[in-house]
Amino acid sequence: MQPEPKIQFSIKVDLAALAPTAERIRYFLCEHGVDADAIYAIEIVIEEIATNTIKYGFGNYGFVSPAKGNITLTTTVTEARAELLIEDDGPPFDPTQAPDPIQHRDVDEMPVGGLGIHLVRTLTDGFEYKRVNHHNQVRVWVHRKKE
Amino acid sequence: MSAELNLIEEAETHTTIALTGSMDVVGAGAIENKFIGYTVARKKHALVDMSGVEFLGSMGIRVFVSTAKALLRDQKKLVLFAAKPPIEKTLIMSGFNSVVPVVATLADAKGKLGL
Repeated sequence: MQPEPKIQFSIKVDLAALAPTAERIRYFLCEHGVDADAIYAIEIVIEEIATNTIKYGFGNYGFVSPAKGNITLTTTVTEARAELLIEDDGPPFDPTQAPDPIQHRDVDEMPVGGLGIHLVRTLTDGFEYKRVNHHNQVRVWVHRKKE
Repeated sequence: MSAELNLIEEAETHTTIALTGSMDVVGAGAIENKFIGYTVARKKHALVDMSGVEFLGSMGIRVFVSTAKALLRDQKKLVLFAAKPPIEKTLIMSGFNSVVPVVATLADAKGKLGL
C-alpha cells in the first residue's frame, strides 16, 4: 500500500510567511488531484487559523520581526479527503469553541471582525482541536469531490 | 500575490474601482488606506469589480464591512460585483451578502443603486 501523500512546513511567526506557504500547499494539493473547492477551503484555514496564532497567540501584529515560536503545517491527501494539521507552541487556544457571529440584516449592526473562525467552520467538513505536549493542534479536513 | 486597486470610473454620483490579487491579511492591509481613499473619502456610492480577486479572507471582508459602515453615515452604499465562485461563496458564508449587495454584473450593481 502506498503511503498517503504528505507535505510539511515549519514557518516563522510572521504574517509574511503565510502566503508563500499557502501557495506551496496549493501546488501540492493540485498535484494530487484535489478539487478547487477543497483547495480553497484549505487556503482559508491557513489564512484564518495561522493568522490568529501569529497575532493573538504570539502577539505579532507586524510584518518585520518574527516573534519567537514555531508553527508547523502538515497537509495530507487521502482518497476521501484533504487534511491540514496546524501545530504551534503558543499559549492554549481552542478555536473550535469560538462562538459563531450573530447574523445581521443591517450593515450598521454587523461586527467588523470575528468572521475568520466562522469561515473555517462553514467551509470545512471537520474541525478539531487538541492540546498535546504544550502544543495547540488544530486539524481540519475537507471531503474531495468524486469524479 | 498581493492586492491591487485600480480606478475604473469617477462619476458625479459614484466611483467604480477594480480589485485584483489576494485579499488576505497582507493584501487587504496593503490596500486598505487606498481603498478608503477611493470610497469613503469621496462620499459617493462605491462599486467594486471583484473579478480579479483570487482570494478573500476575513481581513478582506473586514475592509468591506468597515467601508460599508462608513459610507452609510453619508447615506451612500457599497456594492460588489463579478466575484468568482469561491469568492462569492466566502461572501455568502460570512453573511456579508445579507447586508451589502453582491451582484453578478456592473449593470446589476448600478441597478441596485438606481443609477
